Amino acid sequence: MKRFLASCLVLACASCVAPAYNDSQFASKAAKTAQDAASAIETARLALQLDLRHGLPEQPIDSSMSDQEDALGSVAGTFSSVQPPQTKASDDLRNSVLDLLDAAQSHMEDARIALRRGDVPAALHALDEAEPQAQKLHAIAEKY
Amino acid sequence: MKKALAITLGVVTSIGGFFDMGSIVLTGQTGARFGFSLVWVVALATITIVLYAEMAGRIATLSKRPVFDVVRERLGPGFGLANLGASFLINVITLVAEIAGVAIAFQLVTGVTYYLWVPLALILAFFVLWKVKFERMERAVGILGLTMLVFAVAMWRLHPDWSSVLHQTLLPSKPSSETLASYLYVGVALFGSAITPYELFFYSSGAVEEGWNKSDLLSNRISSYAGFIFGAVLSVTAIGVAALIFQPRHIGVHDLSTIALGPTFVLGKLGLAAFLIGLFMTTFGATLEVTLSNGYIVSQYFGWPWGKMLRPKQAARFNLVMIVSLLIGAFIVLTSLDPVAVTDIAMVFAAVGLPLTYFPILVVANDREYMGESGNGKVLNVVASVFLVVICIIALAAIPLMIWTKLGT
Amino acid sequence: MTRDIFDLDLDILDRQMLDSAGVPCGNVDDLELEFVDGPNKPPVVTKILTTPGALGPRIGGLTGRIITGIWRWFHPERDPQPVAIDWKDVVIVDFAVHLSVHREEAGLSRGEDWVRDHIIGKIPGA
Repeated sequence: MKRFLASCLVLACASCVAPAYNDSQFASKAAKTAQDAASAIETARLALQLDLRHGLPEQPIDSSMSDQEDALGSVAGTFSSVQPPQTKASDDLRNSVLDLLDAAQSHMEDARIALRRGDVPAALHALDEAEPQAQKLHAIAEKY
Repeated sequence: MKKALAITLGVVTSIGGFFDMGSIVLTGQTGARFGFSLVWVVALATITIVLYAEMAGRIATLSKRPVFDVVRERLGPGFGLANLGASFLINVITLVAEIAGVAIAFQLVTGVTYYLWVPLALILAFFVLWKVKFERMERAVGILGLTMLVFAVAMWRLHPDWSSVLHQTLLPSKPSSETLASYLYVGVALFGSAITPYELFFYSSGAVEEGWNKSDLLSNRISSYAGFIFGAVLSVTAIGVAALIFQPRHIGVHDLSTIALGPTFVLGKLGLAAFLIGLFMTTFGATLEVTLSNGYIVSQYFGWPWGKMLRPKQAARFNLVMIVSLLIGAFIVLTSLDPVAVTDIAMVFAAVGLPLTYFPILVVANDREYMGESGNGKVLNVVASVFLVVICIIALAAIPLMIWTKLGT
Repeated sequence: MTRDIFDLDLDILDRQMLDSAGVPCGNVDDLELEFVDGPNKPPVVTKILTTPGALGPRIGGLTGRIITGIWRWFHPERDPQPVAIDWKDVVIVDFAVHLSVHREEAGLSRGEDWVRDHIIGKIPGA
């Protein structure tokens, strides 16, 4: 019975996150992840720039920030659970993408905290600091 | 006065129908990913719906029969029933998208999560369907929905290089970063978003109910042409705004809050406000229309009394179908599916369902028994047949493309 | 479209019926033909059959059986028969089949009345 349950669990996990079989499949998953993550950072940045420029009402910008933070968290979660093929290239790619995602996520959190404290310039500053990661992620998305 | 009203009906259908949750999402996504290279799909869809809405209106005027009545008679009860099932399902998925749109509009204004607004949207829709005079609602939705013109203003104020825009539109080339399959897949969804089947059910039933006669044929033509072209202009400019603002920044559109940034970018607070009002009005209007459409098609198939002008007690089963549709739609929204992803899928299914409705319309528009002198001319028949073939190809390609591209990713 | 010759399949079957008050009361789901003038003469339409009890058998197959089954389930009688309307009660056939009888007399308002009395009528404001 236990074995049956265990195999069910394995099957369920496997069906949630499709495994990547070779380097190029893994790379294309990484590229998609990088693209979505870069988009989330840029969207949040645009929202804050507009907020600073026009003095927008709080709620729509707050919604936009949480949508993008959720998106970033979701792509990071999905990518980290993809099983990479056993090659150095894939391991390196995985590590560099995850590092970038980690850094981007923490900048995004800083931005959200500052925004909710009413400090839009600080929030924008936090996301400006995420710009290098966004550039690198975008470069990865283009490369693969 | 009556003519003016008939024209309003057409124009409003186009705002609530042509430009609704599906169009708002799909134009934003298309512009951000493919720039102007899919604008031709909007043009194709517009010609198609103009042709077929005019035919459906003409059939309703001359034969006093709405589209689904004709569908059952021409396809027989078996195919008619299969068609009813498919159309009902497509309407329900569309309804999920529209209700989510209404609820998200509230969320963007208040900051309170949209789940909590779903019951309110439901009660509001129910109240309007039940108590508000339809003409009044139609006018309110029509006038306030015009705030979506903010996309046209924004596009113009962005001062794009028009010759380059024209070049990309007329000589479209797929961006190199995208596969051909996803280009076509998003094209199919964009097509579906422009001509969702409920529009014709709603339009032709309205014509029957308002008792259009031969003298209304001209206003029918004007309203279907002007209305849908108006909707198409909105769609194209919405694509344009996304193409000019989001594409260069590599921003992908996965949320309505992102789409709101477009008009805000150009027009600040005013742009944001206009978008939010327009989002609410168009999705709410479409919620009502899709709900009514479900009532229409089921009632017409079984021959029950139907109509938005009858009191609920005079059309009990019609009202029951509408209530059940709203409840199913709202329930699905609350299962926490991603509303934007649901919208994408709804629009693909809308494209799949089109031939089911459009084929019987073309057949009956040629039936001299009903149409007399006003049957289709030869030129119209050739053109309409060509477009029917296009619709069939799109419908057949939709599901394979959906699987092949893993939902367009 | 008032004329003497009808194509039963296209002009009568599946058409909307309106009762003497002009209220929709179902579609022509099936027709009953009889050899009134003897077996060598063409058959004559004697009755219109309507309600899902007539629609189900016409569609046939599993779908038809499901429709009939649901209809029987909701029907108050133990062995319900589809509603039949005498052809002599048909006034005229144009975009719809106009009947000279009222829907209640003809037994065509049962479903509508039930939904009205038990569901829609109970909601405030109906």
